Amino acid sequence: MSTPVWSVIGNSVTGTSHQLRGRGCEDSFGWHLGADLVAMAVADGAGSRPHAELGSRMAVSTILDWIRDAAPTPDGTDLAAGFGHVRTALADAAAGVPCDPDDLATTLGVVVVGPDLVEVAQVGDTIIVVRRADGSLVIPSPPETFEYVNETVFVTADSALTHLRVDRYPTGTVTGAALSTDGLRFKILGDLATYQPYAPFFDDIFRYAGHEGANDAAVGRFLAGLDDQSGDDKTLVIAVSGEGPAGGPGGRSERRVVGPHPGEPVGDRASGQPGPG
Amino acid sequence: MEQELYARVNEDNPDPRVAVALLLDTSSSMSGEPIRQLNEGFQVFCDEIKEDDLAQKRTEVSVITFGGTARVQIPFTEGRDLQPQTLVASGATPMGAALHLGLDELAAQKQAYKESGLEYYRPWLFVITDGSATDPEQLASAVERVREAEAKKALTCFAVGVGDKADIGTLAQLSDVREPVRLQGLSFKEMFVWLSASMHAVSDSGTFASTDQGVSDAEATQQVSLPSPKGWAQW
Repeated sequence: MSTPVWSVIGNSVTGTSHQLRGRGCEDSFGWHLGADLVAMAVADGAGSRPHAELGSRMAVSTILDWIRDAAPTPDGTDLAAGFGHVRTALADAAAGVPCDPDDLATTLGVVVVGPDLVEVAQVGDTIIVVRRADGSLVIPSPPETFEYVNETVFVTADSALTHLRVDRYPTGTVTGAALSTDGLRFKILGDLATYQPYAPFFDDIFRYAGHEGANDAAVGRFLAGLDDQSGDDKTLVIAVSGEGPAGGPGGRSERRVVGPHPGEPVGDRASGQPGPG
Repeated sequence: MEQELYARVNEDNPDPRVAVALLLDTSSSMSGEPIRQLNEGFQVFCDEIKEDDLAQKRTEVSVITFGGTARVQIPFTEGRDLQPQTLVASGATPMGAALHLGLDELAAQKQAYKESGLEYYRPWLFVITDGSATDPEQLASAVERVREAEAKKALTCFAVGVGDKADIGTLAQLSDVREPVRLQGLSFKEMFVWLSASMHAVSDSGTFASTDQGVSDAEATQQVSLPSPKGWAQW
């Protein structure tokens, strides 16, 4: 008997338009591999806001902390409460700067793999794709479309929780999940209008993530090598389930949160070391 | 052992687009040397635009001719795929019909961009004529439409008169923002080189958005510097 073990790799690169404006990467990502729960998150700080990088980093670390402490039920975790908790944390952080909470505006997308359910929760235009056991791909609820192509909902907005999109799948039916921020939308979606995944990309990354030699630095090099049309920061987290040791609980306790620190080159982050909490 | 990540990505062109409707007079008065120079000039334009990394992906050109009838000679085509066609001069000058056609084409193209999630720069309506329109009713309504569109900042209109008989007066009515120019002699080549360089300047700028208002907002914060038309234009 074996229990599925989830493994996760991921990285971010700073977008060219961010570099041109003298700003660093405003995307953050992270994951938590626990005995009972595996969770991954990505967040994209709003480019126009002064403390966007703080917002995205806090959103990721806060939601992962919350999930780590949550007790999963057969109906999953209460992710609406989790996102509410993120909003409070961002408001508190803003008070500490001090600045307006909107200055920490960020999107946030999360995948939680529990014993019974895989849950996907998103506020904003994060891109999350789930792979089923039969190899088919599904995009959970796509984001709302707005008049302006770049417009989206942020976790800090008053109406954020009414825009929270949650999707659930039985855990046994899911064998992979990929998370990204909207910087990759032109490359990994087949059709922007219908928000369908570009299947060859996801087939390739899920296959890669299943190899023993798959690593974060290679993800970083792949992102850096993409023909950069959006100018946005690019982030990719790939998680796959595999066979675990017979009879034992799945997972190792590993936690990684990577968010931008001012002046820190993105390349240093792909070291595989657990980041600061 | 570490392994590199290779993954196929969607190679479709998501770049913002500048749509250019080129309205070219191919009436019988353009026969001989004028149409020959025009054809050579357009050939140069097609070559130049392909050599520019940005412009070849961001520029979409439609050629509408008016000589006898007004017709779409080349539907909107990305710069990198643009192939010249040899134009033939004959017939009267239905410039009014051509303007209507150009406006319709630009509006449809802008709508297509919106539906595909593409952003766009302010489109160009570029009119070249060596005479006067022979469809005055169509012309009057077309001039109204162009003026209105430019006033709303839905497009930018450039007008060029060729030779002594060009109706500069009517061309002047098309825009409140810009005076028409006269082509120096038959310097179509120089004009098309300028047009290609202008497309580079636009493509290199950030003045694109997903709505007309967004484009205006972007233009408020950055100027696009077009090259000087002194090499081919006179006022």
